[in-house]
Amino acid sequence: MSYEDRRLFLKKSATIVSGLAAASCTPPRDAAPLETPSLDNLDSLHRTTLDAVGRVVLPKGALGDEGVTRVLDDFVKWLDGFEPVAELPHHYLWNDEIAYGPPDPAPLWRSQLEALELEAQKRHGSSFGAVDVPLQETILHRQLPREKPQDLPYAGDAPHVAIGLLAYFYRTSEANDLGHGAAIEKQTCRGLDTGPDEPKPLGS
Amino acid sequence: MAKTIESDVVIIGAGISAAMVAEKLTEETAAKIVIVEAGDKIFNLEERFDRRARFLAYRENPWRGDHIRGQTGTGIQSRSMAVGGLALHWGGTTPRYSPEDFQVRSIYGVGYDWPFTYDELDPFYQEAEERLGVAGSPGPAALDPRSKDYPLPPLPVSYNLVKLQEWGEKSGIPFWRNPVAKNSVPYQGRNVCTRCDTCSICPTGAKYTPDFTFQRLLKEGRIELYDRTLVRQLELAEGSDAIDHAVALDRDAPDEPIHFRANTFVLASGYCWSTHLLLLSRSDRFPNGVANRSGMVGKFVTGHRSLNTYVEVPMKLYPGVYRSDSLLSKKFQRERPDRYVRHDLRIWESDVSRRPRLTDDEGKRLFGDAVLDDWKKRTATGVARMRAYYDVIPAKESALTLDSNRKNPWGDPLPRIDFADSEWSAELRQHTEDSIRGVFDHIVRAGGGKTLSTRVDSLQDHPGGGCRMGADPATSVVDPEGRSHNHENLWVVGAPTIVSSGCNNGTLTFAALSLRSATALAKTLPARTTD
Repeated sequence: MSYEDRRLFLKKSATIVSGLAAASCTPPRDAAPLETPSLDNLDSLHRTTLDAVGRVVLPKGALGDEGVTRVLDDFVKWLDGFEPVAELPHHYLWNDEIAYGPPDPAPLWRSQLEALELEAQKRHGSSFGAVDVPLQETILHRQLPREKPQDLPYAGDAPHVAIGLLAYFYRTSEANDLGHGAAIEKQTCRGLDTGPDEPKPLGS
Repeated sequence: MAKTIESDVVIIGAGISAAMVAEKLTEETAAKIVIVEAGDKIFNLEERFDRRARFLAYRENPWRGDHIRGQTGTGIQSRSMAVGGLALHWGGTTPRYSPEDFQVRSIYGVGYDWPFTYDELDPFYQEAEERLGVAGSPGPAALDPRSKDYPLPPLPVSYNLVKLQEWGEKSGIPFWRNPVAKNSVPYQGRNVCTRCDTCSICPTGAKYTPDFTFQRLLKEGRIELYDRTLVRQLELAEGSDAIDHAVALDRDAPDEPIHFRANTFVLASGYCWSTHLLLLSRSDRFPNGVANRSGMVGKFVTGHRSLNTYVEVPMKLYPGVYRSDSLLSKKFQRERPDRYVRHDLRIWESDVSRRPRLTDDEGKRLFGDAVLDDWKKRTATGVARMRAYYDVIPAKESALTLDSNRKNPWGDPLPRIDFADSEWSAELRQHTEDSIRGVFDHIVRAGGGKTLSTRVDSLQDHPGGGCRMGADPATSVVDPEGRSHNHENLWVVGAPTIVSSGCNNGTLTFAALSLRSATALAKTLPARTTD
């Protein structure tokens, strides 16, 4: 089995198992009917809710609507490419057992998107994407874990999809440039032609 | 019935020391050379861009399978076990030790002298730099002596390092670029560095890794390489102290032992596994293990500790331009203070305390543009990381031993490594760490800024020893060339043979020592005739 085949096999296996687990949870009787979660990708309802989450947590002022949508598309692609329990690098001079990464976060995150949707419907009779932004923020605050760590985790370890999205975005080169106001382009294979010039301000 | 493989030279291990020895012996001798490596071949240059991308996106190990399940000890060692060794992942940092490292006893009255001087190792340092392709520009001659230029010009300097050098040198301490084994021009058929800033997985092959040497030697038919083959024992010839053969296990057919028979055996498995194999190789004549008549095998394992500090500097920096690059000073390795203290000094760009965060200082959760606004405010000034490695002189009891309570999947006891400072280092530790804190403070006072945090890292970095070299068979395992005092046809090369770890990254020194051993070994083998 090739490297790529193995990754897809592991991902699919993990998704099926977690999908079965999710199917055993009965939704509340007064909840609006929800579509069956897709095993491979976020279905349209989940994507609609995720888009609304993105508009709340991502820096919309800096990215603009198109930028937010692009980041969300990239995030979904990243999630699709996730290999559950992947072998992680062993650190220099650490003799510990080999570490493996987290399981596929998609099932948990999908259920969290459903929970946002359910709360919006129950409290406000409307979908999460349709309620006002302050209400979306309130619902999100209520559903995020009580612990409020300062550091962003690795996205795959995020305990909530909103934190996963933030963690994903803020590791990108684009975010690093925005945070420093300059075209740093981290992790770009920049070659040897660039000298010691100060990185140019964004938009220059 | 064991399968037997015959050769003139068997090299056990396939890391950077083995690569140096194999390359040199194939150039200078007609010897048939066999290399035996317990780990896998990972010849994956064409996959490295993809693996780098997944490493960045998902943290996945870009060198999957570079270890053996259950083959790990207790103490400071790496899990890396593959053709290329730990140098598959290395950062490519290649400073030399300083001349004083070789003569601390003579100069300062502490520790142990090496059996040769820096000047004697200088040509082998140069040779190692040429084989690896080291790019650099030397520091002031008084602080950074070398007889010839670096083989490759330095990589371009980043804005961040220019500013940090100006900042650091306000203290009066000179800094220069840390040399690296990364191609600044195309070299030895390998690509030029494109400064991808993920040196643990160099996607272009511009950073030297030993797999390139082995692939070339295999292609040219100059070596035979047996990977996934774990050597478990060195057996003596009947009625003699010479090594007759190495007993190995094919990990794919563990019930069918292989005997590697040769005239000469070179142990090049790093400080942990070289020492471990000698201790495992017990016999009636050598009940404490091969090469261990003196009882010195496993003793004097050595490394250096470090102090790290993060400093808010009064300037804007741009973390992510090329964080792998750093500045170096050897000023405090060359001085002769009243009380012994020696350390290097390095400076890097850093993003510590300058990363985006989920909550503000009041613990309020941040969303949307507030995350970015908070981050922008905090990146108005930059952060520098400084680190000093200081030498730790090992006690004899700083040792690698066999742990009978922990065995690998094939029943062999695993290594246990317990570092111990000598009385000199134990007594000097507080003074040393206070002195380094004083240097950090001096730099911050002169350049401006604020210290954010300082910590001592107790990890003994760049470890070596366990098969210490020396002229006296009573206090060492191998002679100054790396030849066993007890077995004429057994050599140990690289990290295990060092006397002390100095104050700098060790890989270049391990490579230079291996070349020095290979030069002596080549004289015992039939010379290569002109093709």
